[in-house]
Amino acid sequence: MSRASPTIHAAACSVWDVPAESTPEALSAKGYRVDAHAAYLAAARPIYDGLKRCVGQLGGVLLLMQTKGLDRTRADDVLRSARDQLRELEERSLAFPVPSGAQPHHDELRRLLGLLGTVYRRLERTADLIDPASAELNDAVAALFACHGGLLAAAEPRAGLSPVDFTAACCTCRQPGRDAVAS
Amino acid sequence: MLSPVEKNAFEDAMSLYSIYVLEYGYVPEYDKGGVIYGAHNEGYIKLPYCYAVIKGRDWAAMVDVGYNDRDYGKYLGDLFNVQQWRPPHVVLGEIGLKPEDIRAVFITHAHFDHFGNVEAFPNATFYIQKRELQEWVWAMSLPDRMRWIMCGIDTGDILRGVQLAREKRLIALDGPVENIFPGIDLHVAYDSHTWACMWVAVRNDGQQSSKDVWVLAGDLVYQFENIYGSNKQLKIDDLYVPVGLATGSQINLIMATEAMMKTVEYESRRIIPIHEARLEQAFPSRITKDKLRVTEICKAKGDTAAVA
Repeated sequence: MSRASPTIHAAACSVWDVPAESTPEALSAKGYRVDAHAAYLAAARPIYDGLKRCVGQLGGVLLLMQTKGLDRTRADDVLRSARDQLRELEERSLAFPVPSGAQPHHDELRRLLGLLGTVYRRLERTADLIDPASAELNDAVAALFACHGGLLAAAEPRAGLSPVDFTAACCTCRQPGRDAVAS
Repeated sequence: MLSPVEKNAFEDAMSLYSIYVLEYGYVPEYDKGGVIYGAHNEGYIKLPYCYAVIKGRDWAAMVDVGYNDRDYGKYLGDLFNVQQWRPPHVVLGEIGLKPEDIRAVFITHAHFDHFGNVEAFPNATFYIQKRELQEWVWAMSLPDRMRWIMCGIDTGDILRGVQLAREKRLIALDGPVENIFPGIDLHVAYDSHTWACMWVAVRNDGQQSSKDVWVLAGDLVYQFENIYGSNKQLKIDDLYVPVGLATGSQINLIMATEAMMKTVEYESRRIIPIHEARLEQAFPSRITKDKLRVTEICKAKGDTAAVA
Protein backbone atom coordinates (compact mmCIF):
# COMPACT_ATOMS: atom_id res chain seq x y z
CA MET A 1 0.00 0.00 0.00
CA SER A 2 1.25 3.41 -0.86
CA ARG A 3 -1.26 5.54 0.96
CA ALA A 4 -0.25 7.91 3.68
CA SER A 5 -3.01 6.70 5.96
CA PRO A 6 -2.38 3.23 7.34
CA THR A 7 -6.11 2.59 7.63
CA ILE A 8 -7.39 3.32 4.16
CA HIS A 9 -6.51 1.06 1.29
CA ALA A 10 -5.35 2.22 -2.10
CA ALA A 11 -7.82 1.78 -4.92
CA ALA A 12 -5.66 -0.88 -6.55
CA CYS A 13 -5.20 -2.89 -3.36
CA SER A 14 -6.17 -6.55 -3.72
CA VAL A 15 -8.48 -6.35 -0.73
CA TRP A 16 -11.08 -4.78 -3.01
CA ASP A 17 -11.43 -7.98 -5.00
CA VAL A 18 -14.73 -9.77 -5.43
CA PRO A 19 -15.83 -11.51 -2.22
CA ALA A 20 -15.88 -15.29 -2.54
CA GLU A 21 -19.67 -15.50 -2.22
CA SER A 22 -20.07 -13.38 -5.33
CA THR A 23 -17.87 -15.26 -7.73
CA PRO A 24 -19.67 -16.53 -10.87
CA GLU A 25 -19.42 -20.08 -9.54
CA ALA A 26 -20.99 -19.15 -6.22
CA LEU A 27 -23.75 -17.20 -7.95
CA SER A 28 -24.51 -20.10 -10.28
CA ALA A 29 -24.82 -22.27 -7.20
CA LYS A 30 -27.34 -19.78 -5.80
CA GLY A 31 -29.60 -20.22 -8.78
CA TYR A 32 -28.40 -17.70 -11.36
CA ARG A 33 -28.63 -20.20 -14.17
CA VAL A 34 -27.52 -17.97 -17.01
CA ASP A 35 -23.75 -17.94 -16.87
CA ALA A 36 -23.49 -14.53 -18.50
CA HIS A 37 -25.73 -13.01 -15.85
CA ALA A 38 -23.83 -14.67 -13.02
CA ALA A 39 -20.56 -13.39 -14.48
CA TYR A 40 -22.05 -9.92 -14.89
CA LEU A 41 -23.29 -9.79 -11.29
CA ALA A 42 -19.93 -11.00 -10.00
CA ALA A 43 -18.23 -8.21 -11.90
CA ALA A 44 -20.85 -5.65 -10.89
CA ARG A 45 -20.66 -6.44 -7.17
CA PRO A 46 -17.45 -4.45 -6.54
CA ILE A 47 -18.91 -1.54 -8.49
CA TYR A 48 -22.05 -1.63 -6.38
CA ASP A 49 -20.14 -1.97 -3.12
CA GLY A 50 -17.82 0.83 -4.12
CA LEU A 51 -20.76 3.10 -4.90
CA LYS A 52 -22.30 2.26 -1.56
CA ARG A 53 -19.09 3.07 0.26
CA CYS A 54 -18.66 6.33 -1.63
CA VAL A 55 -22.21 7.44 -0.77
CA GLY A 56 -21.46 6.66 2.88
CA GLN A 57 -18.12 8.44 2.84
CA LEU A 58 -19.30 11.57 1.06
CA GLY A 59 -22.49 11.71 3.12
CA GLY A 60 -20.46 11.05 6.24
CA VAL A 61 -18.13 13.96 5.60
CA LEU A 62 -21.15 16.22 5.17
CA LEU A 63 -22.62 14.86 8.39
CA LEU A 64 -19.44 15.47 10.35
CA MET A 65 -19.20 18.92 8.86
CA GLN A 66 -22.68 19.76 10.07
CA THR A 67 -22.16 18.27 13.53
CA LYS A 68 -18.74 19.89 13.98
CA GLY A 69 -17.15 16.48 14.25
CA LEU A 70 -14.87 16.81 11.26
CA ASP A 71 -11.27 15.81 11.78
CA ARG A 72 -9.58 17.52 8.84
CA THR A 73 -6.83 14.95 8.37
CA ARG A 74 -9.17 12.02 8.48
CA ALA A 75 -11.68 13.80 6.25
CA ASP A 76 -8.96 14.34 3.67
CA ASP A 77 -8.12 10.65 3.82
CA VAL A 78 -11.75 9.71 3.40
CA LEU A 79 -12.21 12.09 0.48
CA ARG A 80 -9.01 10.93 -1.19
CA SER A 81 -10.13 7.35 -0.77
CA ALA A 82 -13.50 8.22 -2.36
CA ARG A 83 -11.77 9.96 -5.26
CA ASP A 84 -9.49 6.98 -5.91
CA GLN A 85 -12.37 4.58 -5.65
CA LEU A 86 -14.49 6.55 -8.08
CA ARG A 87 -11.64 6.62 -10.57
CA GLU A 88 -11.06 2.90 -10.17
CA LEU A 89 -14.77 2.09 -10.36
CA GLU A 90 -15.07 4.11 -13.54
CA GLU A 91 -12.36 1.99 -15.17
CA ARG A 92 -13.66 -1.28 -13.81
CA SER A 93 -17.20 -0.56 -14.93
CA LEU A 94 -16.01 -0.60 -18.54
CA ALA A 95 -13.85 -3.67 -18.22
CA PHE A 96 -16.35 -6.53 -18.30
CA PRO A 97 -18.98 -7.78 -20.73
CA VAL A 98 -22.57 -6.73 -20.12
CA PRO A 99 -25.25 -9.13 -21.38
CA SER A 100 -28.13 -7.38 -23.10
CA GLY A 101 -30.57 -8.18 -20.31
CA ALA A 102 -28.30 -6.49 -17.79
CA GLN A 103 -27.69 -3.36 -19.85
CA PRO A 104 -30.23 -1.18 -17.96
CA HIS A 105 -28.68 -2.27 -14.67
CA HIS A 106 -25.22 -1.42 -15.91
CA ASP A 107 -26.42 1.91 -17.26
CA GLU A 108 -27.81 2.73 -13.83
CA LEU A 109 -24.50 1.94 -12.13
CA ARG A 110 -22.72 4.16 -14.64
CA ARG A 111 -25.22 6.95 -14.04
CA LEU A 112 -24.65 6.70 -10.28
CA LEU A 113 -20.90 6.86 -10.82
CA GLY A 114 -21.33 10.09 -12.75
CA LEU A 115 -23.58 11.53 -10.08
CA LEU A 116 -21.13 10.68 -7.30
CA GLY A 117 -18.31 12.22 -9.29
CA THR A 118 -20.28 15.46 -9.34
CA VAL A 119 -20.79 15.32 -5.58
CA TYR A 120 -17.11 14.61 -5.01
CA ARG A 121 -16.11 17.63 -7.06
CA ARG A 122 -18.48 19.76 -4.97
CA LEU A 123 -17.01 18.36 -1.79
CA GLU A 124 -13.57 19.49 -2.82
CA ARG A 125 -14.83 22.98 -2.10
CA THR A 126 -15.86 22.27 1.46
CA ALA A 127 -16.00 25.94 2.40
CA ASP A 128 -19.19 26.23 0.36
CA LEU A 129 -20.81 23.38 2.24
CA ILE A 130 -20.43 24.33 5.87
CA ASP A 131 -23.36 26.72 5.98
CA PRO A 132 -26.45 24.56 6.64
CA ALA A 133 -28.49 26.80 4.37
CA SER A 134 -26.11 26.77 1.41
CA ALA A 135 -27.48 25.95 -2.01
CA GLU A 136 -24.33 23.95 -2.73
CA LEU A 137 -25.09 21.74 0.25
CA ASN A 138 -28.65 21.37 -0.96
CA ASP A 139 -27.42 20.11 -4.31
CA ALA A 140 -24.87 17.75 -2.77
CA VAL A 141 -27.39 16.22 -0.39
CA ALA A 142 -30.00 15.90 -3.12
CA ALA A 143 -27.48 14.15 -5.36
CA LEU A 144 -26.48 11.75 -2.59
CA PHE A 145 -30.10 10.91 -1.89
CA ALA A 146 -30.56 10.31 -5.61
CA CYS A 147 -27.56 7.96 -5.54
CA HIS A 148 -28.93 6.15 -2.54
CA GLY A 149 -32.27 5.78 -4.31
CA GLY A 150 -30.44 4.45 -7.34
CA LEU A 151 -28.63 1.91 -5.18
CA LEU A 152 -31.94 0.73 -3.77
CA ALA A 153 -33.32 0.36 -7.28
CA ALA A 154 -30.23 -1.50 -8.49
CA ALA A 155 -30.05 -3.83 -5.48
CA GLU A 156 -29.83 -7.57 -6.14
CA PRO A 157 -29.50 -8.91 -2.59
CA ARG A 158 -29.21 -12.56 -3.62
CA ALA A 159 -26.03 -11.68 -5.46
CA GLY A 160 -24.70 -9.58 -2.59
CA LEU A 161 -25.71 -6.26 -4.15
CA SER A 162 -27.44 -4.88 -1.07
CA PRO A 163 -27.51 -1.34 0.29
CA VAL A 164 -27.08 -2.59 3.86
CA ASP A 165 -24.94 -5.50 4.87
CA PHE A 166 -26.98 -7.46 7.38
CA THR A 167 -24.71 -10.45 7.55
CA ALA A 168 -23.36 -9.46 10.95
CA ALA A 169 -25.97 -7.03 12.19
CA CYS A 170 -28.14 -7.29 15.28
CA CYS A 171 -30.32 -9.75 13.43
CA THR A 172 -27.61 -11.90 11.96
CA CYS A 173 -29.07 -15.31 12.28
CA ARG A 174 -30.62 -17.36 9.60
CA GLN A 175 -33.86 -18.90 10.69
CA PRO A 176 -33.67 -22.61 11.45
CA GLY A 177 -34.22 -24.58 8.33
CA ARG A 178 -34.20 -21.47 6.14
CA ASP A 179 -31.68 -20.59 3.53
CA ALA A 180 -32.48 -16.97 2.92
CA VAL A 181 -30.14 -16.67 -0.02
CA ALA A 182 -31.67 -19.48 -1.99
CA SER A 183 -35.26 -18.89 -0.93
CA MET B 1 -39.82 -3.68 54.87
CA LEU B 2 -41.89 -2.99 51.74
CA SER B 3 -42.87 -5.81 49.41
CA PRO B 4 -41.81 -5.37 45.74
CA VAL B 5 -45.37 -4.38 44.83
CA GLU B 6 -45.58 -1.84 47.65
CA LYS B 7 -42.13 -0.58 46.76
CA ASN B 8 -43.16 -0.06 43.13
CA ALA B 9 -46.30 1.78 44.19
CA PHE B 10 -44.32 3.98 46.55
CA GLU B 11 -41.73 4.77 43.89
CA ASP B 12 -44.41 5.50 41.28
CA ALA B 13 -45.94 8.08 43.59
CA MET B 14 -42.62 9.92 43.63
CA SER B 15 -41.52 9.41 40.02
CA LEU B 16 -40.81 12.14 37.50
CA TYR B 17 -41.27 9.91 34.48
CA SER B 18 -43.17 6.93 33.25
CA ILE B 19 -40.94 4.53 31.32
CA TYR B 20 -42.22 2.09 28.73
CA VAL B 21 -40.58 -0.49 26.53
CA LEU B 22 -42.52 -0.80 23.29
CA GLU B 23 -42.07 -3.71 20.94
CA TYR B 24 -42.31 -2.75 17.25
CA GLY B 25 -41.50 -6.12 15.69
CA TYR B 26 -39.79 -9.37 16.50
CA VAL B 27 -37.83 -12.30 15.21
CA PRO B 28 -39.55 -15.46 16.45
CA GLU B 29 -36.47 -17.64 16.49
CA TYR B 30 -33.11 -15.95 16.83
CA ASP B 31 -29.84 -17.76 17.29
CA LYS B 32 -29.05 -17.63 21.01
CA GLY B 33 -25.37 -17.30 20.16
CA GLY B 34 -26.10 -13.86 18.71
CA VAL B 35 -27.49 -12.74 22.04
CA ILE B 36 -25.24 -14.44 24.55
CA TYR B 37 -21.55 -14.50 23.78
CA GLY B 38 -20.37 -18.08 23.33
CA ALA B 39 -23.82 -19.69 23.39
CA HIS B 40 -23.09 -21.74 20.30
CA ASN B 41 -25.58 -24.40 19.26
CA GLU B 42 -27.86 -23.63 22.18
CA GLY B 43 -30.93 -23.14 20.07
CA TYR B 44 -33.17 -20.23 19.22
CA ILE B 45 -35.05 -17.64 21.23
CA LYS B 46 -37.57 -14.92 20.49
CA LEU B 47 -35.86 -11.58 19.88
CA PRO B 48 -38.14 -8.57 20.18
CA TYR B 49 -37.23 -5.26 18.53
CA CYS B 50 -38.12 -2.44 20.92
CA TYR B 51 -37.60 1.16 21.77
CA ALA B 52 -38.07 2.84 25.12
CA VAL B 53 -40.19 5.87 25.94
CA ILE B 54 -39.54 8.25 28.84
CA LYS B 55 -42.77 10.12 29.39
CA GLY B 56 -42.95 13.19 31.59
CA ARG B 57 -45.93 15.34 32.46
CA ASP B 58 -45.89 17.36 29.23
CA TRP B 59 -42.84 16.03 27.51
CA ALA B 60 -41.65 12.72 26.09
CA ALA B 61 -38.34 11.31 24.93
CA MET B 62 -37.30 8.04 23.39
CA VAL B 63 -34.30 5.82 23.51
CA ASP B 64 -33.74 4.82 19.85
CA VAL B 65 -36.31 4.88 17.06
CA GLY B 66 -36.19 1.46 15.42
CA TYR B 67 -35.98 1.09 11.67
CA ASN B 68 -38.19 2.00 8.76
CA ASP B 69 -39.79 -0.97 7.16
CA ARG B 70 -40.29 0.84 3.88
CA ASP B 71 -36.86 0.54 2.30
CA TYR B 72 -35.70 -2.84 3.56
CA GLY B 73 -38.80 -4.43 4.94
CA LYS B 74 -39.24 -7.12 2.39
CA TYR B 75 -35.59 -7.99 2.33
CA LEU B 76 -35.41 -8.08 6.11
CA GLY B 77 -38.62 -10.00 6.32
CA ASP B 78 -37.40 -12.61 3.88
CA LEU B 79 -33.93 -12.84 5.31
CA PHE B 80 -34.53 -12.74 9.02
CA ASN B 81 -38.21 -13.43 9.36
CA VAL B 82 -38.90 -10.17 11.19
CA GLN B 83 -42.59 -10.23 11.98
CA GLN B 84 -45.32 -7.81 12.98
CA TRP B 85 -43.32 -4.66 12.25
CA ARG B 86 -45.54 -1.71 13.06
CA PRO B 87 -44.86 2.01 12.51
CA PRO B 88 -44.28 4.41 15.42
CA HIS B 89 -47.72 6.01 15.24
CA VAL B 90 -49.29 2.61 15.89
CA VAL B 91 -46.78 1.53 18.53
CA LEU B 92 -46.75 4.83 20.43
CA GLY B 93 -50.53 5.03 20.18
CA GLU B 94 -50.67 2.17 22.65
CA ILE B 95 -49.51 4.55 25.39
CA GLY B 96 -51.46 7.54 24.17
CA LEU B 97 -48.63 9.28 22.33
CA LYS B 98 -48.02 10.32 18.73
CA PRO B 99 -44.60 10.53 17.05
CA GLU B 100 -45.10 14.31 16.96
CA ASP B 101 -45.13 14.34 20.78
CA ILE B 102 -41.54 13.12 20.99
CA ARG B 103 -39.18 16.02 21.77
CA ALA B 104 -35.88 14.21 22.27
CA VAL B 105 -34.39 10.93 21.12
CA PHE B 106 -31.25 9.42 22.56
CA ILE B 107 -29.67 7.28 19.85
CA THR B 108 -27.66 4.66 21.68
CA HIS B 109 -25.77 3.70 18.52
CA ALA B 110 -25.99 3.96 14.75
CA HIS B 111 -27.19 0.47 13.81
CA PHE B 112 -30.12 0.50 11.43
CA ASP B 113 -32.56 -0.95 13.97
CA HIS B 114 -31.90 1.91 16.41
CA PHE B 115 -31.19 4.91 14.16
CA GLY B 116 -33.21 3.87 11.14
CA ASN B 117 -36.46 5.76 11.43
CA VAL B 118 -35.64 9.35 12.32
CA GLU B 119 -38.00 10.83 9.75
CA ALA B 120 -40.97 9.47 11.68
CA PHE B 121 -40.34 11.98 14.49
CA PRO B 122 -40.68 15.46 13.00
CA ASN B 123 -40.41 17.43 16.24
CA ALA B 124 -37.59 15.54 17.92
CA THR B 125 -33.99 16.52 18.47
CA PHE B 126 -31.64 13.55 18.24
CA TYR B 127 -28.61 13.00 20.47
CA ILE B 128 -25.79 10.70 19.46
CA GLN B 129 -22.11 10.45 20.32
CA LYS B 130 -19.77 12.30 17.95
CA ARG B 131 -17.28 9.44 18.04
CA GLU B 132 -19.97 7.00 16.95
CA LEU B 133 -20.46 9.05 13.78
CA GLN B 134 -16.76 9.68 13.17
CA GLU B 135 -15.80 6.03 13.38
CA TRP B 136 -18.64 4.81 11.20
CA VAL B 137 -17.65 7.31 8.52
CA TRP B 138 -14.11 6.04 8.73
CA ALA B 139 -15.34 2.43 8.62
CA MET B 140 -17.15 3.17 5.37
CA SER B 141 -13.87 3.99 3.73
CA LEU B 142 -12.63 0.48 4.40
CA PRO B 143 -12.70 -2.17 1.69
CA ASP B 144 -15.37 -4.75 1.27
CA ARG B 145 -13.36 -7.52 2.83
CA MET B 146 -13.50 -5.57 6.06
CA ARG B 147 -17.22 -5.01 5.78
CA TRP B 148 -17.91 -6.84 9.02
CA ILE B 149 -16.88 -3.61 10.74
CA MET B 150 -19.63 -1.80 8.88
CA CYS B 151 -22.33 -4.25 9.81
CA GLY B 152 -25.76 -2.87 10.45
CA ILE B 153 -25.00 0.57 9.03
CA ASP B 154 -27.34 2.00 6.44
CA THR B 155 -25.87 4.78 4.33
CA GLY B 156 -29.41 6.11 4.02
CA ASP B 157 -29.41 6.81 7.75
CA ILE B 158 -26.21 8.80 7.34
CA LEU B 159 -27.85 10.92 4.64
CA ARG B 160 -30.94 11.47 6.76
CA GLY B 161 -28.56 12.44 9.57
CA VAL B 162 -27.14 15.19 7.34
CA GLN B 163 -30.60 16.63 6.92
CA LEU B 164 -31.27 16.48 10.66
CA ALA B 165 -27.96 18.17 11.40
CA ARG B 166 -28.74 20.98 8.96
CA GLU B 167 -31.99 21.55 10.81
CA LYS B 168 -30.05 21.58 14.11
CA ARG B 169 -31.95 18.47 15.14
CA LEU B 170 -28.94 16.16 15.39
CA ILE B 171 -26.64 16.94 18.28
CA ALA B 172 -23.29 15.16 18.35
CA LEU B 173 -22.19 14.77 21.96
CA ASP B 174 -18.63 14.54 23.09
CA GLY B 175 -18.79 12.07 25.98
CA PRO B 176 -21.23 11.53 28.83
CA VAL B 177 -23.77 14.18 29.79
CA GLU B 178 -25.35 14.59 33.20
CA ASN B 179 -28.86 16.00 33.41
CA ILE B 180 -29.33 16.38 29.69
CA PHE B 181 -32.89 16.73 30.85
CA PRO B 182 -33.83 16.83 34.51
CA GLY B 183 -32.87 13.51 36.08
CA ILE B 184 -31.65 11.98 32.81
CA ASP B 185 -27.97 11.14 32.34
CA LEU B 186 -26.29 9.84 29.20
CA HIS B 187 -23.35 7.48 29.66
CA VAL B 188 -20.97 6.10 27.04
CA ALA B 189 -19.35 2.69 26.65
CA TYR B 190 -16.54 3.21 24.17
CA ASP B 191 -15.43 0.41 21.86
CA SER B 192 -18.03 -1.97 23.16
CA HIS B 193 -21.08 -3.06 21.12
CA THR B 194 -20.13 -0.18 18.82
CA TRP B 195 -17.61 2.66 18.88
CA ALA B 196 -19.43 4.90 21.33
CA CYS B 197 -22.51 3.15 22.54
CA MET B 198 -24.73 5.10 24.94
CA TRP B 199 -26.84 3.98 27.86
CA VAL B 200 -29.38 6.13 29.60
CA ALA B 201 -29.87 6.47 33.34
CA VAL B 202 -33.12 7.96 34.59
CA ARG B 203 -32.94 9.21 38.17
CA ASN B 204 -36.64 9.11 38.63
CA ASP B 205 -36.76 10.88 41.97
CA GLY B 206 -34.72 13.71 40.46
CA GLN B 207 -32.14 13.39 43.20
CA GLN B 208 -28.44 13.48 42.51
CA SER B 209 -27.86 10.52 44.81
CA SER B 210 -30.91 8.75 43.57
CA LYS B 211 -32.52 5.69 45.08
CA ASP B 212 -34.79 5.31 42.07
CA VAL B 213 -32.55 4.88 39.03
CA TRP B 214 -33.57 3.01 35.88
CA VAL B 215 -31.01 2.16 33.24
CA LEU B 216 -32.04 1.80 29.61
CA ALA B 217 -29.20 -0.29 28.32
CA GLY B 218 -29.53 -0.02 24.54
CA ASP B 219 -27.69 -2.95 22.99
CA LEU B 220 -25.08 -3.16 25.73
CA VAL B 221 -27.38 -5.69 27.35
CA TYR B 222 -29.75 -7.67 25.12
CA GLN B 223 -31.35 -9.96 27.65
CA PHE B 224 -31.31 -10.92 31.34
CA GLU B 225 -28.58 -13.50 30.80
CA ASN B 226 -26.13 -10.73 29.87
CA ILE B 227 -26.46 -9.47 33.46
CA TYR B 228 -26.78 -12.67 35.39
CA GLY B 229 -25.68 -15.43 33.11
CA SER B 230 -24.01 -18.66 33.97
CA ASN B 231 -21.09 -20.68 32.86
CA LYS B 232 -21.81 -24.39 32.73
CA GLN B 233 -18.18 -25.39 32.37
CA LEU B 234 -17.04 -23.33 35.34
CA LYS B 235 -20.27 -24.05 37.24
CA ILE B 236 -20.66 -20.36 37.97
CA ASP B 237 -24.01 -18.63 38.17
CA ASP B 238 -24.56 -14.90 38.25
CA LEU B 239 -21.84 -13.60 36.07
CA TYR B 240 -21.93 -11.00 33.36
CA VAL B 241 -21.89 -12.47 29.85
CA PRO B 242 -21.39 -10.06 26.94
CA VAL B 243 -23.84 -9.75 24.08
CA GLY B 244 -23.01 -11.74 20.99
CA LEU B 245 -21.96 -8.78 18.87
CA ALA B 246 -19.13 -6.40 19.70
CA THR B 247 -17.48 -4.05 17.24
CA GLY B 248 -15.21 -3.25 20.17
CA SER B 249 -14.36 -5.65 22.94
CA GLN B 250 -16.11 -8.02 25.28
CA ILE B 251 -14.08 -6.57 28.12
CA ASN B 252 -15.61 -3.16 27.52
CA LEU B 253 -19.07 -4.72 27.47
CA ILE B 254 -18.40 -6.31 30.85
CA MET B 255 -17.10 -3.03 32.22
CA ALA B 256 -20.18 -1.23 30.90
CA THR B 257 -22.41 -3.78 32.63
CA GLU B 258 -20.54 -3.19 35.87
CA ALA B 259 -20.93 0.57 35.48
CA MET B 260 -24.68 0.12 35.00
CA MET B 261 -24.94 -2.20 37.97
CA LYS B 262 -23.07 0.26 40.12
CA THR B 263 -25.46 3.01 39.03
CA VAL B 264 -28.47 0.96 40.18
CA GLU B 265 -26.64 -0.17 43.32
CA TYR B 266 -26.57 -3.74 42.02
CA GLU B 267 -30.35 -4.06 41.85
CA SER B 268 -30.23 -5.83 38.48
CA ARG B 269 -33.94 -5.57 37.67
CA ARG B 270 -33.38 -1.84 37.21
CA ILE B 271 -31.29 -2.48 34.11
CA ILE B 272 -33.71 -2.77 31.22
CA PRO B 273 -32.58 -4.99 28.35
CA ILE B 274 -34.19 -3.84 25.15
CA HIS B 275 -34.24 -7.18 23.30
CA GLU B 276 -35.63 -9.15 26.25
CA ALA B 277 -38.83 -11.12 25.56
CA ARG B 278 -39.34 -11.89 29.24
CA LEU B 279 -39.78 -8.36 30.62
CA GLU B 280 -43.33 -9.45 31.43
CA GLN B 281 -41.88 -11.60 34.22
CA ALA B 282 -40.54 -8.54 35.97
CA PHE B 283 -42.92 -5.73 34.99
CA PRO B 284 -46.60 -5.17 34.18
CA SER B 285 -47.24 -5.66 30.49
CA ARG B 286 -49.84 -6.50 27.90
CA ILE B 287 -50.00 -7.76 24.34
CA THR B 288 -51.57 -5.48 21.73
CA LYS B 289 -53.90 -6.54 18.96
CA ASP B 290 -50.82 -6.58 16.72
CA LYS B 291 -49.26 -9.20 19.00
CA LEU B 292 -46.64 -6.78 20.26
CA ARG B 293 -45.80 -6.25 23.91
CA VAL B 294 -46.16 -3.00 25.87
CA THR B 295 -44.20 -3.08 29.12
CA GLU B 296 -44.53 -0.50 31.84
CA ILE B 297 -41.26 -0.18 33.71
CA CYS B 298 -42.50 2.52 36.07
CA LYS B 299 -45.24 5.06 36.23
CA ALA B 300 -44.96 8.78 36.96
CA LYS B 301 -46.94 10.42 39.65
CA GLY B 302 -50.43 11.03 38.29
CA ASP B 303 -49.96 9.07 35.08
CA THR B 304 -52.57 6.53 34.14
CA ALA B 305 -51.61 2.93 33.58
CA ALA B 306 -51.06 1.96 29.93
CA VAL B 307 -51.03 -1.76 30.51
CA ALA B 308 -54.22 -2.28 32.50
